[in-house]
Amino acid sequence: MRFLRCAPILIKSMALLCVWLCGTNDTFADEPIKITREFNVITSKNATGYFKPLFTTIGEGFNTNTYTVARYPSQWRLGLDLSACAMLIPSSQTTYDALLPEDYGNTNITQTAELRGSAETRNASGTSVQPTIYGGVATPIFSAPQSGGPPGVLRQPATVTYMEGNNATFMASIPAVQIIFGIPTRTQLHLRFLSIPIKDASTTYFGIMASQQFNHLFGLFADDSLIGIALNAGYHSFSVGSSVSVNSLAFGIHGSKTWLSGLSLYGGIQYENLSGNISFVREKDLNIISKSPFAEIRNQEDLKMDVTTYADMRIAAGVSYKIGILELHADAAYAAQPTLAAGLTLWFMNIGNDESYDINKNRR
Amino acid sequence: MKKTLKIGVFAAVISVGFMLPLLFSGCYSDTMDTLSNYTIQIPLNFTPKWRDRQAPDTSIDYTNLNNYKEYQDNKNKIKSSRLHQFAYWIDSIQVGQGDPLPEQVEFEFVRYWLFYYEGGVSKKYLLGEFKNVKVKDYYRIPHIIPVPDEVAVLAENITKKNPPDFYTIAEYGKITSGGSGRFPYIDSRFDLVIQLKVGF
Repeated sequence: MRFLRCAPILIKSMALLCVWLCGTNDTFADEPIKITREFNVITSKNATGYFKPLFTTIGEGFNTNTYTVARYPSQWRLGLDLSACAMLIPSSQTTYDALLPEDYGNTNITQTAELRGSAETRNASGTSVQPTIYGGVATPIFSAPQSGGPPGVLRQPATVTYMEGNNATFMASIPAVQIIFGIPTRTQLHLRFLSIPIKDASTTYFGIMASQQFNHLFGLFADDSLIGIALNAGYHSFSVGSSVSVNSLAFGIHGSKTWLSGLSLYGGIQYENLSGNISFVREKDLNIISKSPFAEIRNQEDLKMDVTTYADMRIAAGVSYKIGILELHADAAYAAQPTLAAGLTLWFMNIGNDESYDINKNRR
Repeated sequence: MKKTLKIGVFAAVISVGFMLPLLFSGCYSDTMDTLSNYTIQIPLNFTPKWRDRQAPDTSIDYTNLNNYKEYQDNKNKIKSSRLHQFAYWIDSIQVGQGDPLPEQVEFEFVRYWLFYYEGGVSKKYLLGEFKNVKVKDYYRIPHIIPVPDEVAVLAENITKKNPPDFYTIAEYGKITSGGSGRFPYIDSRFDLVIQLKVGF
């Protein structure tokens, strides 16, 4: 029952990701989204580093559960797959090098200090190690400007603080509800599509993944029709209004061995990436004087993030069990964020006959 | 034997099939919790001013969190708050006539206190103490102290008050460098960082 209740949670979690990133005020489908005011503490470049592990989780989620058994029949087939995945967050992704205000490190302009444990560091310049969204407590850097300024106005560069992380070690990514089409050329397509309005901004996600078995073309494992090797490639697109545009590409190779019991082992290696742009308009209010030491925030400039991830290669291994129309599958992958995934596929329709694929025929 | 093995595999797969959804639904609940909250830090800036005072003595500063834009923007969504660290430095100082030069001045200590009214009763807590404060080491050079845990949590009480205001007291100890201990002025800075956990 808990899993059934999970479905709306999954949709909500995806929506929440969008709201979290995209703000809530006066958004329209064709207009850039205004960033909520609470995010007026982060600059574009620091936001890129802060959110990078989250983008990695999302990107790896796109490219998980895209294949199982590499033995595709010469049949028309139709299936529905429900899958979920979660990532282990490496400690290396809990911090990033956050940019300091430009004048930090120039002791003619300001003297700065930061305290980590019992270690006090003075007049650092360039970058400072700060938590990502999955990290811990941020370290403020106190700044004592060396010159005077107008009375009543905070002298610059002032003390700087950063957003803190959520101490995450295990994160679920976007779940997959996908339609699977089998084509007699031993090709299989996975299609995902989701479109939901979030605060009047249209949020659309679609993904298409294709797998093509090829070992039979070269006579590889010709004496064992229960072994398959296939190439796979995938493309995903995620957008929110005109503010968020993110794409992911993946390609790889996978193989599997099936036993007559219906049990299969599969594995593969895959390259994947995620890239794109996110741009938000900062709410502008001429009556508000920001005390931020970052000129971008003081000047209420728009926030523009490059979407980058830690993800590149993944090696996966898993198990699948098919009984009747039901196929259960689970796998683990070594990747930038090691991944656990599981799901179930319901095969509704098979048109045509492929004796080499039929386990019962193989038994005979 | 073969049949037993088959039944075993089937039972294992079905068990895993039911266990994994439970695991993942818990995981998604955790993810929701994680993404539903975030924590920002806000530096609260104080500019304590001593005017024609004799050490040892105190000065008092008042702040209302509503004066901070970042606080105002988030105050309806604050789930918890904590005081984190603070830094102190001397911005400008003038010594009395005939007293040692500013760079030679040393205070026995400078203490910072937090106090606020709650239910009409004032409560005062020590934020931290800087010992042997040589002006030359503190002149426009920040020195940091982490707020003790028992005081850090008082931010909860302050942010729940209306108005969310409090006072800081700068207490200067006696002069250990000689001289009258009288200062026409001491302008100092005190930045106190507060952590606000905000939920959607």
